[in-house]
Amino acid sequence: MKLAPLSAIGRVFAVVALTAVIGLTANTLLYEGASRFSIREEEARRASEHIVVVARLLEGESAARRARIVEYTSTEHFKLDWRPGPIEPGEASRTLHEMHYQMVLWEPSLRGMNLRVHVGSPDDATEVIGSLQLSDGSWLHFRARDLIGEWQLERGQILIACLPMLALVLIAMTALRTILKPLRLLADAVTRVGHGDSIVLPEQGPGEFRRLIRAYNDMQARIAAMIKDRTEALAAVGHDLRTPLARLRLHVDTVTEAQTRNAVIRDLDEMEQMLDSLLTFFRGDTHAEKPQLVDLAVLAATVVDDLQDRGFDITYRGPEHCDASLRPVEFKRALSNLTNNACQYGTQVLVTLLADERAIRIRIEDDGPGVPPEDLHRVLEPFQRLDTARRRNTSGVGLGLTISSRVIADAGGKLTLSNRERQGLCAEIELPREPGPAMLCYEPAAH
Amino acid sequence: MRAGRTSRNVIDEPMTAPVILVLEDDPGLRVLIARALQQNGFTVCQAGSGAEMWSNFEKRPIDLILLDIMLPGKNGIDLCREIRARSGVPIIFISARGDETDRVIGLELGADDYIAKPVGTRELIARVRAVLRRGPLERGTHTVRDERASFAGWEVDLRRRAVYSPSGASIDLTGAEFDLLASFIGSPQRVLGRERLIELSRVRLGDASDRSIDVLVSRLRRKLSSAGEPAPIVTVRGVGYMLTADVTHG
Repeated sequence: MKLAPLSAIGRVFAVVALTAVIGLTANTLLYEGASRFSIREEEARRASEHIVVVARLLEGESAARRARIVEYTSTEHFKLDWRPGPIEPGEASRTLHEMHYQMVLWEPSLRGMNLRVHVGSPDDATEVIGSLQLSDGSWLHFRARDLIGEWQLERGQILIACLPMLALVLIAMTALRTILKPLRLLADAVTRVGHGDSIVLPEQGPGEFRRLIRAYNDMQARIAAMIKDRTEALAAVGHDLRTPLARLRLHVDTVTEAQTRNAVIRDLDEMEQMLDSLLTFFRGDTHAEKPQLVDLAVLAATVVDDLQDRGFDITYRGPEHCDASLRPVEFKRALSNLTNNACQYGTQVLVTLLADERAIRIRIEDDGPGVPPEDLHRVLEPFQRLDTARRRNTSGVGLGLTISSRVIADAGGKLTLSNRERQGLCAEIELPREPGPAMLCYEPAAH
Repeated sequence: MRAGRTSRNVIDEPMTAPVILVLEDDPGLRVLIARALQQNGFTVCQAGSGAEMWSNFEKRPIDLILLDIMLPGKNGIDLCREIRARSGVPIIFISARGDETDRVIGLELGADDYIAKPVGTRELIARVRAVLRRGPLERGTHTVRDERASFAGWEVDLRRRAVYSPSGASIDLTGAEFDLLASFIGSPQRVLGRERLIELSRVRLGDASDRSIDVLVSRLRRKLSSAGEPAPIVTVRGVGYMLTADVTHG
């Protein structure tokens, strides 16, 4: 399984957590080992002293006295008993070799007394039982509680030891988040580069981050300046190209052979269109025009008439008049781009205008090959041409739809492209209408 | 100094060719424009700079100036202002910038029309003829004034080639449609013969025929209808068409 790379905070958290866990574990083991060892040693010593003393007391006493002595020397936590045989540990009881060793080490006299030490019962690890043989062959039994430290207690200790660690980790995280915040902002800003809005970030945070942010700001400024220079250069070339184009335009009328003349005129048209769209695109959002009341139905009809005059099969269907407030030259260009496109790819084009109280819709439908559904969103982006999918003679630089979409959006409207059910592309312009009395739409007059 | 003839009608007086002054800094383009104009019966004098233009201007009467906006040294807009200060000669701006600002500024300063480069011969000749046709009718003084005409609630700005509907909306017409409308406005309530209209449209349409004139008129009618009322253009069977509405100027 491939894991997503951890964020900086995640990594730092991992390091802090790992350190904490290792530290804590080491501490616990050390502490626990030490405490268990010391407890065992101390208890073992006490127990061994105790039984050695009692064993000495019992030597040479009568059986009745012996019973009294073991009773007297028993305590709440250390019970003694005297029996003829050795203690029988339960089946599952372990022999406590370590404790045996400790006890014998502390009281060497126990060495010859056949000492046996076991865990009292498998359920209670803290109880120890044992026995040792007296010189007459009888056995002294002992049963000690809490000889081994209780595990429960140590778990609580670990928890207590953990709490400050957890608090430290939390504090570290909060501090880190604050420290890393400028980096996060920078990442957001870098993501947005190229999407129109450039943001100058305030220099903040640790020294390295400040340098990084300054470098980013500088880089952004350099990129903007570079784009501006290039755009201006391209626009200047575009302007300058118009003079030779104008010469060609006039030259072409002196060509006597009609076929050549028409071919050259078509090429000139195409070049002019490309230049126009390039210059419009680079001019961007600087509106020279002010919105004004325009008869949109007549505008659409004129766009259609122009194309009819150029020999295309294109029809306008809709009201004769329909007023709307928009930038006429820009909007005409947007509409022309769409109709030109439709005429280029289709053989029959229908332009429909529908108006109601809320919106005006202009639909441009062709019977061309349409656009593959997966590319529908892509064709509105600049410099996109779907030559592979729409194989007919493609012309232009791929800015027409981008410009249309931008102009329509500027007018508060929306351009939607969709494939028609049977064949071809449908481009729909939707313009919202401001409610008011100036909504004039006339149906065709009866002649 | 005499600048601009006060009266000339291209159609009625074909024997004296109108004089067009072409001010364009690009020599190639200047020669081509001059040739195109000469081939269409105009007399042309060429100027490559403002100084050359003024010397031409003083030598002979000029009927129209074609003025390039982008000129080295002094720009066309300043020149236009200076010309207007001295004369009412019709001016057509030619600009490489298809910019709406240029167009507006040019027309504000008193240019009679604005053509964006590149322009074809037909369009150029059509525009020159249209401006010359209006020339003697509405001009006469050296001051700039709007050349507005109105009929049946419709407003037409001949200089800006703009039409406004009774509701105040701008009406977008093709070049040929506007020329046709200008002809109707020039002769209101007079029947315009088909031949005359074909002649007028030939420059622009190239293959003007009876049918193309009928199509043109029907489109114009559709665009000039209002509130269910048909456009005030009637067919005079077998003769031509007539604008029935009163036209007021100014």
